[in-house]
Amino acid sequence: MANDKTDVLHGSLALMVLRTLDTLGPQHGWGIARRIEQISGAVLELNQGTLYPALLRLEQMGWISSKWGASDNNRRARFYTITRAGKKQLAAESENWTRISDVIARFLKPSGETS
Amino acid sequence: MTPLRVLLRRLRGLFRKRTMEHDLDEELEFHLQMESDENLRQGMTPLQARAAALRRFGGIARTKETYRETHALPAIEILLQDLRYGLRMLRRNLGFTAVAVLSLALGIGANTAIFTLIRALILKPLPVANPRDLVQILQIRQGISRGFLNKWTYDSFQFFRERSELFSSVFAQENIRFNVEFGEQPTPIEGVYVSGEYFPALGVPPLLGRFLTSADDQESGGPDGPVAVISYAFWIGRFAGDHTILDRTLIVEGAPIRIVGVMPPSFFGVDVGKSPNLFVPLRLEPMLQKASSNLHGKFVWWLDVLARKKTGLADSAFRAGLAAVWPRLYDIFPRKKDQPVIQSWSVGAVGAGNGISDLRKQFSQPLYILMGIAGVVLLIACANVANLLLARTGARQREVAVRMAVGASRPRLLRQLVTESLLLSGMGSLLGIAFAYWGCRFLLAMLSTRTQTVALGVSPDPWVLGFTALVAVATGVLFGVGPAVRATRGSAATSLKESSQAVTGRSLTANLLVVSQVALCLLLLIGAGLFVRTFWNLTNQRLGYDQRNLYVAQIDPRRAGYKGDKLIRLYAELFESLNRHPSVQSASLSSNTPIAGCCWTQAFTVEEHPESQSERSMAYLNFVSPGFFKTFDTRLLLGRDFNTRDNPDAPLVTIVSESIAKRYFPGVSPLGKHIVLSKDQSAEIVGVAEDMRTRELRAGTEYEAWFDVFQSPSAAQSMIVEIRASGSLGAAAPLLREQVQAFSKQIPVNVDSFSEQIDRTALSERITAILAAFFGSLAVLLACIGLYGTMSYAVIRRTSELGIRMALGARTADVTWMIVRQAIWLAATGAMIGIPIALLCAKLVTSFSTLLFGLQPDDPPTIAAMALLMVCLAAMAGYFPARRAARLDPMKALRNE
Repeated sequence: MANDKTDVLHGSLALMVLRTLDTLGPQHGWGIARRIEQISGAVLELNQGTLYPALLRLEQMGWISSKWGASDNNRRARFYTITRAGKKQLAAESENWTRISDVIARFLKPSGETS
Repeated sequence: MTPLRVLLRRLRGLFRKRTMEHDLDEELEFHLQMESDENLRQGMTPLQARAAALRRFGGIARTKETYRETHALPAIEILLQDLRYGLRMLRRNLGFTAVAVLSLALGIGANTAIFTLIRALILKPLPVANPRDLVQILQIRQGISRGFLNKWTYDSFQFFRERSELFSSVFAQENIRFNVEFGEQPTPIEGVYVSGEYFPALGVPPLLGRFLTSADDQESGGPDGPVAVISYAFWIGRFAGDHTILDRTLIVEGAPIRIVGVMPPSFFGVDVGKSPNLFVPLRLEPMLQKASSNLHGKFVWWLDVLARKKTGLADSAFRAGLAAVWPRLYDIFPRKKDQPVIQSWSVGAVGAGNGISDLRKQFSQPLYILMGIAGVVLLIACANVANLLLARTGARQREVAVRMAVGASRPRLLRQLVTESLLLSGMGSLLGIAFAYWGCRFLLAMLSTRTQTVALGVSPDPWVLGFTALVAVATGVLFGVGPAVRATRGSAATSLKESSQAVTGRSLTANLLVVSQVALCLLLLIGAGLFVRTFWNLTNQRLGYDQRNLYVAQIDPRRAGYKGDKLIRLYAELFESLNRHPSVQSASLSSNTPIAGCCWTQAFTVEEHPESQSERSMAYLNFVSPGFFKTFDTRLLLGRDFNTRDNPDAPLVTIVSESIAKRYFPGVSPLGKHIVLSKDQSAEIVGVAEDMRTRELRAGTEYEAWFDVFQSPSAAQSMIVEIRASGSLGAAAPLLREQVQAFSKQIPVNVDSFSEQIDRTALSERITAILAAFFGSLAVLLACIGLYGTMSYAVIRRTSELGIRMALGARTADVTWMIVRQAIWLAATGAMIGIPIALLCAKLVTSFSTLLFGLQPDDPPTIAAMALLMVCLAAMAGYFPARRAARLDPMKALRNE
């Protein structure tokens, strides 16, 4: 591969956001961005700006909700929370994702091992 | 449901733009703060920290733009933005906007008005249950009286009623005017006789009370006695919506009839254009019409018969079944061996889901022609607006160039310009709908006559509004796209460099538009000229009588109990007394009058002409009193009028029309010869009268034979009384009524003006002529505005050139003529194109020439006159800008550059 850092796969960002909110509870945008970067190590380079339209889309779908509140250092910040519909979606998508990555993994297995 | 939720949220987003922007700014700022704080902690300088944060973030503006697009609906937002901008532009050029919107409103209004009428009269289904199943039963006739006859005898209706293998229900109706007593005088009220199946078959529930059923349809009434149902309009108009209306009794034709129901406002029966107020059971007809009843007439064809096709019956089986019906139907009539032609007739059915209508027969063809004319008017209006837009394009070139230079894409600009056009056509159509609404009211008022109100629902309905919307969009695109493409052509740099030099191409386009406007306009003018002359020819021809100052009234003394000798004596005395009256120039009686009181036809032969035996031509028969020809001012060409010696005991005499004389006695005197009506009945010809137009104004030769009613007293039933008297209908009506009612107050007398009756039959020609002339003038006005605009622009463009010419010594007249000449040249070119198009149209639309009378569609005087008119008007439109040009101060004109 030419790039040693991978672009965030389309659609997977949503899954990561939902997962983050599910694990950590309410978070602001910066928090979510940090979390995604930390978990992925240095493999994924998130263009942090792309996060915000994605958050808006998730909110329009009704999977997350947002509220203005105060951050740790007492600044006004917008906090996102996963909704019940979001949790359902997360469960369905995770399962889907696991299945697909299993299949892909099987394809990519070195052929020598099976014979 | 998720996509719907997203859509709703985005729609909501349209209205929360400001909050969204503010929140987004704050949120992103917070993010950057957090990020740079983090960077600070890692030991960067504040400047470095901020820069790193921004880099990490990756483009604030792009994020915001994506966010905005996601937040709401970008397409709608752009549209709203374009509309706002468009409105601002239109407001800034009020003059342009007013002319454009008004042109379009007139064009779109004309189309909407005509379409509304077409929809109401032709396309709209009846407001009854399952209108699609309704059919009208017709007689299909061959031979002399070839064509469709839509009327039936009561016996034949009974016959159809028993054909349950074909129909699930059959009903009959006949429109009539009832004399209803309100106080002293009987008032004529539009009504209809309906058979018992009428209301159940139409399936419209009454507003109040009940409707009529078969139980009510009995001679002298059903279990509730004689009953009737009234219309909503009658209930409101006559009885002020009184809820105690049920069980009220009306005196109809002298007989008491109880009201048992009121129909809802939308119900008008099955005859489109009629609005009957009183629905009376068919079999009460003998009781009401007394001796003039038609119900038991073996050969009185008077009923409209409609039916619902049996459900589940295939179309082919239905047709076959109908075809098999005629011989059996024919059996119920006494055979006439000498009329074998009758056996070749048959029965047919046409869909009646849109109702039946004489009005439709009369007007559908003119309406379609008018629709075409209105379409052309709209095209001319479009050309006008396109021309105005082109002129404005010149002025806006700089604006467009600047916008392109700062990065607006061409599609985006095109969209903006077309949106402006659609805005114009949208405004035009709103105003147009208002015009159409007034126009329709006005047209209906024109259609209605003193004695007959035409009732059509012309309120705009979804169909009409849809049509208008479609027309608006089509026109907007038609006139908008061309100029928009032109405006956005070329690179920003060249447009900015050039000032107003690049105008030659534009003026060519403008000239083309004006030329095509003139061509289309001339097309309409020629059409209008033809229609106006048709109407003129129709109403100013010699009809064989003088319709002016003639007043007629059909009377039926049998209703007051006059019969036999008493009846004929009454007629004789009435004839005497009317002729003695000082203000009556001449009076007579006749069983028929031309046109409105037409006709009674019978086959005849000529004793002295063997060929006529096989020909068996049909003639109109008319039983008249002496003085009939004098009263009608019809010339007696040969022989004598009837007189008192032509009594029942004398040999039967007749007066024949000029056409009969010419056909059967060329070069010989027909006097003393005989015409034969049946084996034992022949009449000696004692006179020849000028042909009278009897059935319709357009008909050609007329075979007609007149007999003396006092010689054949049995022919005296209901008669028409006609008087020639100077003065108005207002003076003649009471005179006639007084004279008739001197015998009995029970005889209803409705006096009509004969010339009004004639005018009524030329109504469709009159309205076509008026509308065609109106649309033609509209087209001329629009074309002249276009021409004026183009010439004005040309003058402005040539200001410096004109200045040089004048400085070099050109006189005012020279300059004026130069401009006017250009206008004339444009108009003449248009005319050269328009005339062949008009000739081609006349060839292609073959039905067109049937609408004309007394001239051909390629009538040279009309075409020449209209072309000349067009060129003159063009010269006038060019004159005003020319005069302005001639008044230029050469010094100023030269400095202008």
